Amino acid sequence: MNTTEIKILLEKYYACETSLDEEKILKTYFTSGRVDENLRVHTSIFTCLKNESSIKPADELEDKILEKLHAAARIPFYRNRIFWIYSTGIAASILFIFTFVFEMQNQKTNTLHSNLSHSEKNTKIAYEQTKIALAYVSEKYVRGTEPLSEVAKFSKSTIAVNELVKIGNEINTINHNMNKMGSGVDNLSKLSKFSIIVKP
Amino acid sequence: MTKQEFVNRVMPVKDKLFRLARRILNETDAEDVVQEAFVKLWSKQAEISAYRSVEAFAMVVTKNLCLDKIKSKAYQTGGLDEWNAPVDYKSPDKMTELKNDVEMAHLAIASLPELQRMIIQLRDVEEMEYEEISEVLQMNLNAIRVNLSRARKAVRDQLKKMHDYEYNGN
Repeated sequence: MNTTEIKILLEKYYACETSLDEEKILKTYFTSGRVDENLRVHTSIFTCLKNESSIKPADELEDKILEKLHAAARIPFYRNRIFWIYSTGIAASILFIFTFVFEMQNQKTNTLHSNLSHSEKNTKIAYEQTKIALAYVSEKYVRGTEPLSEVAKFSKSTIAVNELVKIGNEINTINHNMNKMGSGVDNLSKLSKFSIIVKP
Repeated sequence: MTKQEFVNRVMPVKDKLFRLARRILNETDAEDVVQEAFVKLWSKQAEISAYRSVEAFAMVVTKNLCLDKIKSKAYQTGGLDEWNAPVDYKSPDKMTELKNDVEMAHLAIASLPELQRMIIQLRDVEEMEYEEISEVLQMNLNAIRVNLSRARKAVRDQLKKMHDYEYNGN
């Protein structure tokens, strides 16, 4: 690849428009040792990047990791930090829920109590008001019934009239009976006349 | 999954995990983080299937452990310990010159913000696809490209300045 092409690719590289393959071309070019002196700055960058990718940890790291994994597997679950974090979290949540529910219940009871005492007060007031109203009504009623005593007299007189009517009826009955008796007497007199005739 | 199966599946990724950790932490802490990452991966086996690959999940765990560690202390990343010069640069003068240049590039990358360092590591060192990087860093593709472009340009510009100062005296 010639310098011009590399320069174009470099432009793309700094604008992050290159693919991984194009970046590999740049890396290969700049670490080849045959680089244009004007592009020296880029040589140092790509050499540094290539150098970085070949860095490896110490050989003991793998042993250390395995040792740590064994140790982690040996730790009983209750000695595990995560176990305690989760347990504490769950316990705190339960405690919070209980506190919340208890507080809600308390609030409900308090509201009920306050509502009751409030309604009790209201009832007393209503009772007093009703008492006053009823006293007023009864006073008016009593005053209103006074003229009705005359009506009572009227009813008394109607009783007397009824008695008179009864007496009248009885008299009528007596009259009726008397009439019957009269007619009976007539018949008897007729019968006596007949017997006189029949008597020798 | 048995422990042996787990080791067989995850152990090959250890070098990549170490390099990622080393990009953020010093060598000793990077080793500690990799060990811790393996223990964590072992305890979270059930989550592995949710990721594109074991490698991606291992990278996520390692990255998070590194960031946790870096939050707890002030860190300085390691210098250029290992040096593999290209074959054609074996002449002592050229090699010293290049080693110096590469040391500068290393410093320039080390001076980048944490996120940009990680993206350079995953793309330019580990040669991962943008989709994989997006999964590891939990970022969208565009944000990754933007950060990577900034990182690459920042390293280039810093090296240009160093070169100008060192070789041209400007």
